[in-house]
Amino acid sequence: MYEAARIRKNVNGAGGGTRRGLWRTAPARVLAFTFASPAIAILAAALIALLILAVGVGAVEISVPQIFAILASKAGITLPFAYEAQQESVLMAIRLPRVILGLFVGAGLAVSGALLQGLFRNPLADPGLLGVSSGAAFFAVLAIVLGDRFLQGAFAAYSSFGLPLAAFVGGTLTIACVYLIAKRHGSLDTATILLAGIAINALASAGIGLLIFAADDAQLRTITFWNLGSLAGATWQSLLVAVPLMVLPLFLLRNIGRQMNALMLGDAEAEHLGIDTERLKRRMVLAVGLVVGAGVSITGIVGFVGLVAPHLIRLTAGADHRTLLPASALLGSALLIGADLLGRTAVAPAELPIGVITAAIGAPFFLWLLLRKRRA
Amino acid sequence: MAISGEHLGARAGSAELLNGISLNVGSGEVLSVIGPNGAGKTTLLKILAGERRRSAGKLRIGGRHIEDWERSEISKVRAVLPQNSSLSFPFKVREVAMLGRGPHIRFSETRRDREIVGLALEKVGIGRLSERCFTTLSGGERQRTQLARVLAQIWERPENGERFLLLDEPTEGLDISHQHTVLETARELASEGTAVVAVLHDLNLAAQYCDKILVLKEGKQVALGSPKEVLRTGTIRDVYGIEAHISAHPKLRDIPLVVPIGAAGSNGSGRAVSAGAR
Repeated sequence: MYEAARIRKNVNGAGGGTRRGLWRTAPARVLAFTFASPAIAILAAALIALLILAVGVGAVEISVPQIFAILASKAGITLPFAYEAQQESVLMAIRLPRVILGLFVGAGLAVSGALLQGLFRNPLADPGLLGVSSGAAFFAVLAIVLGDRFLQGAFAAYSSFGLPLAAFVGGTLTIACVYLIAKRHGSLDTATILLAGIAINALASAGIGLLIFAADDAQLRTITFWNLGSLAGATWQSLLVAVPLMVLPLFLLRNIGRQMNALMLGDAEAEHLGIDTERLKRRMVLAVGLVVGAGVSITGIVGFVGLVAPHLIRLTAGADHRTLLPASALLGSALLIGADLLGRTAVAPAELPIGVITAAIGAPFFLWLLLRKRRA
Repeated sequence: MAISGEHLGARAGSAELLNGISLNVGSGEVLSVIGPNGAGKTTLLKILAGERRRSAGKLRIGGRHIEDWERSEISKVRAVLPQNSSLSFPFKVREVAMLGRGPHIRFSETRRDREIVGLALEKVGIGRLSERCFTTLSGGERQRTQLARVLAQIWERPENGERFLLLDEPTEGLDISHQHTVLETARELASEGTAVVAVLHDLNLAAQYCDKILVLKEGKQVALGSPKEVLRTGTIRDVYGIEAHISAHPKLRDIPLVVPIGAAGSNGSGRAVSAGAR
């Protein structure tokens, strides 16, 4: 409690100084912002520590000096720490892509959650809500069940891309559908987006159910595992497809914090404050579609990160989106990497699907929020 | 004229919400719009605010057609206080008021912006609440926070001096002292050259603080003029269906005082009459 209060106080103090000259340049402002906001600095430090921990812990232990020695050797520098070839291959082929995937997907889900909560002006919104996740899931299941039949001969080589690509197409199609339905009467109506999302969710579930009915045993296993979410699918190849799609929205989101703050007052109020709300919402929806579609395409459905991360930030650092968005991204990464670490060490050598862990932690949290809201 | 509308009309589907409204508000003038519920007061304000398309008529703001204003440009000189505003996130009072500075901020807020927000909060009497969370405030405190935001938006006089303030029931939910503070603040802004349009329900507040009153009934303009010209027994009976006694204000010069008696045709009602009947 004391810590939270102190963070809040410091955040307030952050804007207090005068910034002139050098401080006006963009990179300097980013740096100043990072260090001026303790919430972000603390989260960044915690995330780095967690990254190192997650890379080192597992069936094959790799110590911190060894991690640096292996990474340095890739850059042609030899550090005086001995490591085994097995450690190198585990780090480079398994752990590193996995942690990097967690980093991006966690950040993406958390930012998407914050964006959707802002879009709906409802702190209980989540990427699952728009139907993006289930739309992506439907297409992925479609690829699992029917993929082998179509990707034969010359196309067989591309089958590793089939699943992520299908999920991504599904997610983006869903968001486009929801958007177009909501947009039908000229302006983007929040209630309609919500209802369209619910309808598409139901439709996608029906489709998945139908495909499960048609699937064989091996396919069922894949579907189930994918539906529960996992970072195990991370390879450099899959990262190469998904990461650019998740980084792209950063350009859509630049300077969005202040505009989103104004949007919280209401559409008309934001317009009166000089903001083109249609354009702002379009940017937000597109960013969510890209990030969630690309993320879900490799990890499957991972729930609650998008809900929990922005909430925790709001409780400690306040609701200002200029802090909320970057801080949520950092916390989302940390949550997902942490959950993955837990999932693969708790019942080693077996692995718990990450979706099970995030749901087991996230669902009670969600209920707690609901109860708290009712009391207030 | 700072705000001038000619024969303004609005429709929702086939229903006519407003028809043939003409008004002029000069710099430094306060116009209040009164009328029964559903008369089209808020619709008219929304047309002036550019929130709603008019179906007919011409509307100029600061001498320019409303369509010719850029959104970013007009937001620096025109502020709108909505009837009810909700906010479901834990923003601080200070942060909400700072949103009003949005149109003027290029990169990040300056010391001047923070100064203005502080002054605006003091002006509406909630300076001491600036660090409080908006969602924990009472209805009246929220209303005043929103008012501070709106004041902060047009705090400084622009180069050509013209500013526009549109208030939709600004006194709603406020106690009597804050009702007067709000309208005094509007008057003060007007004295600096701002054109103010306020939707009000309290006829005596309108009489006391406004230069002109526009009376609407069922989307049509019933009267427009000074409080003395407009607030007449006949007009009030026509528009509200209520008998009222109009007298000169005992303390303020040239200001009518409206004392409602009861529903028209009932020759007065309430406790006094029923007591007499017994």
